[in-house]
Amino acid sequence: MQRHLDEFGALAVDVVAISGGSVEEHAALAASIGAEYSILSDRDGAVMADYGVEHPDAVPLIEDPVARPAIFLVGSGSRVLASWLTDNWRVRAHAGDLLAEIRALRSTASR
Amino acid sequence: MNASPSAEAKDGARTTARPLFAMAFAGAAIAFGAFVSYFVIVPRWEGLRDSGHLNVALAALGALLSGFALVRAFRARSARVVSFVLAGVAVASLALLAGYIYVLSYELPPASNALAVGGIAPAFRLEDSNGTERSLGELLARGAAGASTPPRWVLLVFFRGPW
Repeated sequence: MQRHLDEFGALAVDVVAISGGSVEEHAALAASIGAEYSILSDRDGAVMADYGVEHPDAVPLIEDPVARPAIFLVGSGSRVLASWLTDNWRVRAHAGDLLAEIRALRSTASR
Repeated sequence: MNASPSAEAKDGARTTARPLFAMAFAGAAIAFGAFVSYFVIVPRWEGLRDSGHLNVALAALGALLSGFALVRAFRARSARVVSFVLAGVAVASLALLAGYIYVLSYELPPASNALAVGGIAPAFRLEDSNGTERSLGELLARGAAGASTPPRWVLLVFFRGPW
């Protein structure tokens, strides 16, 4: 995501990551991968549950809430414009595919 | 002086054992290397990581090689224990990797649970990695003042965890 952040920015899209990790863990992660986008801590998994992406008992020995990998594009009025849900948690939507779909949505929205 | 029959048998066993050991070791090394590299090196290439087929194929090749060495070792009654152990390493590497890629990775709650396109994204207020609270409303409102700019959109990326 970081490599494509400028392209998302050019489309007026803010990238925001969410996981059940702590603020400190996310700070370490952001430093290690050079992430300039926000990484939010959903410590009790309430937001995951609200979005229907919680994955209970996903990883042995990990007590933090875990989400299925999922991406939502949220627009005006908090409406969900698109979503990308994988059926395989190893495989996530690629930034290039996300950008192409967002460009198409922007193009449709501007007509 | 001629070597005794038992010494000749030992020499013969050593001569047979070396290539069998080499074959079994190569098979185990290939399979174990395919397993480890999938987690350590392959993530740099999205295509290879996503499919995982190359690593599974390499692990299968390693398992076949060490399995072949094991059969030969039992037929030749030579290097049987070490071939057995190395074949075990190769088969375990293959089984773990294939299980991870083709079974475990698909264990997910149904996608139908997730918020649908067209629905309203629930509001939230969460701390970012600097400890600053961020809300969805605030993120969407950024840049709203500029009438010439398109409305801000937010791409919410849920990921499994920072571990």
